[in-house]
Amino acid sequence: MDQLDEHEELFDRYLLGHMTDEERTAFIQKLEGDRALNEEFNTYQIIYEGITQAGSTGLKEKLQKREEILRSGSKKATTPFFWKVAAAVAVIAVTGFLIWSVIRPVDYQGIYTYLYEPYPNIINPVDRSSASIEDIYQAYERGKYHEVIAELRKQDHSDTSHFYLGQAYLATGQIDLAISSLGNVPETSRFSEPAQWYKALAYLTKEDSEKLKTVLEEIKTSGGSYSKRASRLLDEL
Amino acid sequence: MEKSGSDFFERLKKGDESALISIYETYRGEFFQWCMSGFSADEDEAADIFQESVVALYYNVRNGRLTELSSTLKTYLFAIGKNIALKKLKKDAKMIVNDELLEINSGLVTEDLFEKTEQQKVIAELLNEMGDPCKSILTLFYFDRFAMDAIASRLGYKNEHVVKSQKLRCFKHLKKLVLERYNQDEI
Repeated sequence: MDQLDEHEELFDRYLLGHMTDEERTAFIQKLEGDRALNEEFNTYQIIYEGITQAGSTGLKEKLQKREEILRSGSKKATTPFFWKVAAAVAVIAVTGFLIWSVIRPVDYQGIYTYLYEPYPNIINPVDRSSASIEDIYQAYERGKYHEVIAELRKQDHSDTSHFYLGQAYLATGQIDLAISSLGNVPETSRFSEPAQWYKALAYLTKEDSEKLKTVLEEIKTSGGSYSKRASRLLDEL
Repeated sequence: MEKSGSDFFERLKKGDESALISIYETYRGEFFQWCMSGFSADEDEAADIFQESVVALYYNVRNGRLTELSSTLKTYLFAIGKNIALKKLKKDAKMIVNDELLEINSGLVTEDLFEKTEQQKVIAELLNEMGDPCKSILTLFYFDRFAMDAIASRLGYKNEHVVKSQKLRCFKHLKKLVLERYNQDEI
């Protein structure tokens, strides 16, 4: 056990604001009287701030992506041609709008772009049974999906390999193969819920509204951790 | 309080990140108009300010700084936006900003999430290079402020103890990378 094991919880409780006033005062006094601890905390705090920066930047990037989608939508709607036509045939446009509002085309690709993010690699290094498996998941983390596909196809048909093979297919745009691999993840697997969600995303990008809605309804009624997302996506559709 | 605002607020408290998109789309038009007319910002600047305001709102809710809304969510969001806009304009020398103006809202954004030091940028880059699961675990814990059991459920880990051990391993790895980049004296 090193110093970090010993102090991690204490530092976290201070930085995350989980200490009482008395505990905070005692902690600060302890830092003032212990140079080594102070130095260790200083490093810990700087890393914590870097992580917070990464979190806020990542979230801002998601909003930037949304902004791009919103702008591309509004540009399409404000082309001069549209307005000329709209002015000339106002009655038709109004009628068209009424029809459009009923059978409004869904921006499947826009929604997919916003929602899709490769599932993180959560295969714990200690769970990886061999060096080659370690390499596969390292390649996955680096986004080398074609390598992942080549290697995982050689592996046993575990739920994990089906799931990550499906992820790699999805990331490389091989949608039908992704649906098939994700469909092979058994219901008892810890990847069952995310597999269903990613299968829904695959149907989304394939613009197969019927199957998409079926999978989303299943996720919604399952009451699992993706059910709210599924419900909201159904509303959007 | 407007119904949608209080609903968004409750969803943020539960860590529902998708509420941010609803907030973004609900208040975007009005915020842009307000920012462009009140601060002479162009559309890109207004978008930048709005995005940072929404992130700051989320962070304040998640870290427990904002537990109750004394006014509407919109008022709160626009007050954060005003602070960020004034800071940016002051920095860009577009406007002579009286510091007292900033102090009015100082309780709203007590730390600037986007004023990065070079060192913080480097650490954020190192974390990005580490990739997942470390990136997700560390940001979900320190930025999104999720408890270990919630992270376990989100990322499909067996239980909170597995996440806790993994988080410590990830932190140690990041620390090692940081110390390889900087001398202890430079930190």
